[in-house]
Amino acid sequence: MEERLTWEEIVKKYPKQWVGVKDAKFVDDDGITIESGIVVYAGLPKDEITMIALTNPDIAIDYTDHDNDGLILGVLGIGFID
Amino acid sequence: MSVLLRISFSLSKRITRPAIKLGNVLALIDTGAEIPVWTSDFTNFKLCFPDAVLKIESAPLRGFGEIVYCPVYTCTLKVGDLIYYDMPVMLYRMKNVAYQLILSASMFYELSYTIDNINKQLIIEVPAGQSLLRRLHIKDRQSNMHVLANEHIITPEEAIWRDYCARYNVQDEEAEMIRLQGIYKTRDNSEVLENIRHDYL
Repeated sequence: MEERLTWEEIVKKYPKQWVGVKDAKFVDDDGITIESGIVVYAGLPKDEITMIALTNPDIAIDYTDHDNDGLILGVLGIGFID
Repeated sequence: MSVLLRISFSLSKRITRPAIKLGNVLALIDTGAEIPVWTSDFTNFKLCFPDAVLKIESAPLRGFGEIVYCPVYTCTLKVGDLIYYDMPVMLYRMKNVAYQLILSASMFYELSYTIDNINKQLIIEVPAGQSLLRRLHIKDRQSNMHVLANEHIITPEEAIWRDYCARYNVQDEEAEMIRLQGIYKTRDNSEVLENIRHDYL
């Protein structure tokens, strides 16, 4: 049976992984912050879950642990320092 | 500042860094970045940007602790109503980064952009007199590569044509124009453009 879970329940059940959610409800209908939904994909590598998102707009994807991406300094640049 | 258009995106309310949804994938706004980077694999890149063309096989990219070398493609990239054509995007596969795309500060050159972390909105304002079509160039200056962010003002006719070609992935623009001239029974390109604006856009 398909089970609708809150994001907190999704994080608890599928920690530190990509999830694909159908019938997603978003916080304030913002279209990005998943509030609840039915998990149909979990634990797939990033490239696989990305392909699912690109080919199926009804699936919302997100990673369940953004807090541990590490501390990243945003200084992407092309070329060498003069 | 007189504003031509205001575009807003919802920022994720869970991610401390500014991230938006673009084409159903996550895009990080990196205000320290000079060039956009696609962080998933090439197959997905082509799915997302079917008109992508390889421009540089191996270009140096710094910012990941050391200089890495990766290919640069150009493609049409849409951010809301903003259309970046011939947009340089580097491909650097990062399995442990929870975003598919990194959008660079250079994309917002000569635009006003606000990351509103209270209301969780990214607001981009296009000043009056500027085009929604943008273009960035990569130039090699004295053996060093730089991204030049050009605010590219073009005619409304060119804007219509660019939008049409991007939307329908037109490969041979000349052949397509001739085909459309046949459909609309005219040799006048302006008439063709007026018709495609009405029929397709």
